[in-house]
Amino acid sequence: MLRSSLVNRALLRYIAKRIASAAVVLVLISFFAFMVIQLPPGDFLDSYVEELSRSGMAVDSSTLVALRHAYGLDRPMIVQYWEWVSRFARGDMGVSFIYAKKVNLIIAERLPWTLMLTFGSMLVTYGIAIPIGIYTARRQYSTADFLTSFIAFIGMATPGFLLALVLMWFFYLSFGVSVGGLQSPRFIGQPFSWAKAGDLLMHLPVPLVVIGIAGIANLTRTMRATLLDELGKQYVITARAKGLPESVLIRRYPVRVALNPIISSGGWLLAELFSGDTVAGIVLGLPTIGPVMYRALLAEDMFLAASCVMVMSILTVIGFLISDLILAYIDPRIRLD
Amino acid sequence: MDDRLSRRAFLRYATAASLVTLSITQMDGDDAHNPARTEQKPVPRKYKEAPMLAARVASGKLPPVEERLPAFPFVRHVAKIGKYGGTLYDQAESPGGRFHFDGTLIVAAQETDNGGRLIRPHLCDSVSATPDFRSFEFHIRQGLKWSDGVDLTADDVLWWWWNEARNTTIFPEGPRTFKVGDNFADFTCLDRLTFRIGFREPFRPCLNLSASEYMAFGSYFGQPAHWMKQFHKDFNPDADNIARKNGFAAWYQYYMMVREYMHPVVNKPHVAPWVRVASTTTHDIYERNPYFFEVDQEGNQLPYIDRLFVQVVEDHRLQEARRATGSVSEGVCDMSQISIFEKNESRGHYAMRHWHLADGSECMFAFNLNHKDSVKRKIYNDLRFREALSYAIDRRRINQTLYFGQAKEWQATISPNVSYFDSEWTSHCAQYDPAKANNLLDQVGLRRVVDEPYRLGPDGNRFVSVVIFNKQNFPVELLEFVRQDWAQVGIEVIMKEADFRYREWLCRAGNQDCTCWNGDMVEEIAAYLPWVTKWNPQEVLFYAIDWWLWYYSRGKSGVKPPQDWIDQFDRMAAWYSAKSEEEYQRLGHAVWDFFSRQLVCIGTVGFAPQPVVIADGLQNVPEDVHMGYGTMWAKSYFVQTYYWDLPEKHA
Repeated sequence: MLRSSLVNRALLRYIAKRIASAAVVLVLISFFAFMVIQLPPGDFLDSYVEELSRSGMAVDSSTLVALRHAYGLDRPMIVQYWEWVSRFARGDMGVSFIYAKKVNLIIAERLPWTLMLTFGSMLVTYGIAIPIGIYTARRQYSTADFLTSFIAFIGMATPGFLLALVLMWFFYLSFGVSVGGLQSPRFIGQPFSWAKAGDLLMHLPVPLVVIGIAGIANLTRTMRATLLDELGKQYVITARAKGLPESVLIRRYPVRVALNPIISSGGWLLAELFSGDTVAGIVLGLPTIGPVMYRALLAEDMFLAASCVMVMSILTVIGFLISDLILAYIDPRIRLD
Repeated sequence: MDDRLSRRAFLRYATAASLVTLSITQMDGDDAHNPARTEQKPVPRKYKEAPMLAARVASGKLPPVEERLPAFPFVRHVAKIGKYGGTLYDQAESPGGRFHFDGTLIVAAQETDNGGRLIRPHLCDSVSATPDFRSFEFHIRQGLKWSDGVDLTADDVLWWWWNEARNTTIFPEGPRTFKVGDNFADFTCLDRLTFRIGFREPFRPCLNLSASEYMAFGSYFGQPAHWMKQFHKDFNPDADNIARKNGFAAWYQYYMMVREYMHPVVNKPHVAPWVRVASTTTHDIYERNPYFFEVDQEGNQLPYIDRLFVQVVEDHRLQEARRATGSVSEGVCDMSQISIFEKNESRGHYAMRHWHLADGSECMFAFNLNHKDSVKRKIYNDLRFREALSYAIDRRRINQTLYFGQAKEWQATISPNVSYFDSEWTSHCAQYDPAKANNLLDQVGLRRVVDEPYRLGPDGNRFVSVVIFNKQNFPVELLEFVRQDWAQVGIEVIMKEADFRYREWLCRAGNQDCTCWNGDMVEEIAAYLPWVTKWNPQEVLFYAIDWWLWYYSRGKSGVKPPQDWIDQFDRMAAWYSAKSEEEYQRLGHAVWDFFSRQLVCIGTVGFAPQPVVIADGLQNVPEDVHMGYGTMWAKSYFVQTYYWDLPEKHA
């Protein structure tokens, strides 16, 4: 009793400490993110004018002065920062100039797609990588091991954008799936229908594979390596000597330990869930948050960019807190202090 | 749709009309030869409309088509009478970003066609100028309505002028477009539908402005006052709250957002064939404007196609891939990818056509005549140097290699369709003649040294020029060809790609050696827009920014230009205030003769081919089009007349 309350108190103190330090980190991040976004010369308007000039349009100086004033870009950076951060703290992420919309609305529009894709690809990744990792560790240097290792290395080495293009083209040629995005244009904005659902299903494999492939390859290798380490340890030999069935032994002990590195890297996961895979998002034209953030950074659309960076930072901090707690839970060897 | 009325003829009629009296006239596309008809009574006519609108009329949501159209709709002659329905598919980099069909959203007082020489009334049914071109009267079509059914009147123009353009909270400097010298134009409302723009000095380009984006209603010109007032603090005390609800800090911030037609604002009353009804981060949807004021020759209200769907595709490569797989209804194709496009024609359900770009030069080079370094300044200012570099360019090689021999191997200048065009300008120093180039360079004082590939400057030092450029539409290989050609005659240049902003900053400060850009705005209508073409020293190529500053500030800043340049600036100002057709022609010729002979912009090849993909079944698409900003891209080939042969297949 006494022992468990001590643990709880230690745990609570630990969590409180982590949250306090996270708050400081986040304030610093918010400040630096906002500043760094504006470090390149010029501001959002320059990139706006750039886009117009590329298409041959001219913006006269009076309009430019008016716009700069209207967007508040002529005010000191610290004033702009304060305006944004004080609103952010109240849950209002300000406005995006490129999208001419509240940042909250942009994120709300794209978050469901992002979550769906990231969850989907995570399921694909874990569902494929963990069993293969276990299998190859147990049958080290077998033909299957060499073959999967070979494929895994190719998977790791293939740039996502290249694979995306190849797969997109393949699906277009073979199944007539329209290139880019998650739906054919004629279904976008239309009410639900079975045809629309079918169209979505046809578009899903490419992004899921592209987003998942590097993760699958990585995870298979990590799983295989850590499991191999564990399999040679004495407790495994002891358990085997005592006659524990092999499948129970593997599942109950070494696999649990081998999962540690995967869980400890899970801190990134929440942030990834939010942004999705940015490169794949851009190349495949996915309606996820990654491409929006990328565009915002390029165009120095500072409220949108800074808000995305902030949300990702918050999620990363929370993600690591959660992964630390899970680690502590599944592996008693890890102590909170 | 062809040039039935030349600019000159129109001006003659318009001036004549204004001399007698202001007549409320009606001009249709087919009556273009007689623009100054006397006042007419509206003749009730039976018009036809799209089924989607007929359904709304039947359910009482919309008045009948006769009540929606003006008394005299603009009659657009179409090659084939179309069928109603279907969707046009297009793509943009961001919501509200530029897309292939976007020009079609521009509706100005007058319009031009694809040739860019004609100016005829459009939204206004009569436009007249006083003989001295100080005063211009515009009469809005009677009964013309915004897309929400509210009448468009001269009050909308006056409201825009005083409450937006001249509002110093919104525009601290005031509008540059309607300002001659230090004086703003004078806007007056003559009656409910007639407004007058007056200038202290003659300002003939006002007619060109009236057919350009500068007078686009519902954007840069007259606004739907009844709708805009809700966002304006002077008319709605709650305007700040509305802005805040939309994420902006103050009313004028949000006002700037809703004022412009390209900004992704939904349901703003407009006058274009289509109006934006939905805008998300992934797509924009435009639907037909039930009040659009054009009909075809059989009285069918335009446009034929119901919707315009613009998908947001951030990545350029993906945009290209989507075009090559038939995801857009019409789109341009990169020359270097043409074989892929052609191979995929039947699979992608499209056909290719060969249109042209309207750029006088795909890429033209401008050396900095105001260079801070005295040696370079002296060389760049030597006309023989620029002539030599022009002779040194092998335009045939560029054309054959990069444009399949389809571009014009011409000097950079205005379009041959311009009335005061001189064919000598296109051939001036445009022949490939390395011997002549070498000879000229020797005369300039750039010495060849034995065993050295490059010439030395007059000071004995290496003479190297950096050409700073941004990635443009022209193939980047073109630059390498020019670099090699110049190296052949011993001129060392380094082609350096730079960030857009860096290039602009560097050039604005006059710190570049040389820069390059495409030579657009070369049509009759565009070349006369005051001080905006790329040949102007302060625009884009920034080849003489200090001279311009001196002239613009009347000697208060900048550097005094040589007398021939002062004369040129004076000549341009005189041209813009030309009082007669003769003066317009004579000064126009003189202005462009000076630019062409001075070779401030050294051209490569121009009017390059532009392959496009046209989706199967899309009708009334012109065979050949000159595409460019001078005629506002898709605006000048009338996308509202397009239709699908099977609309239901393209819903």
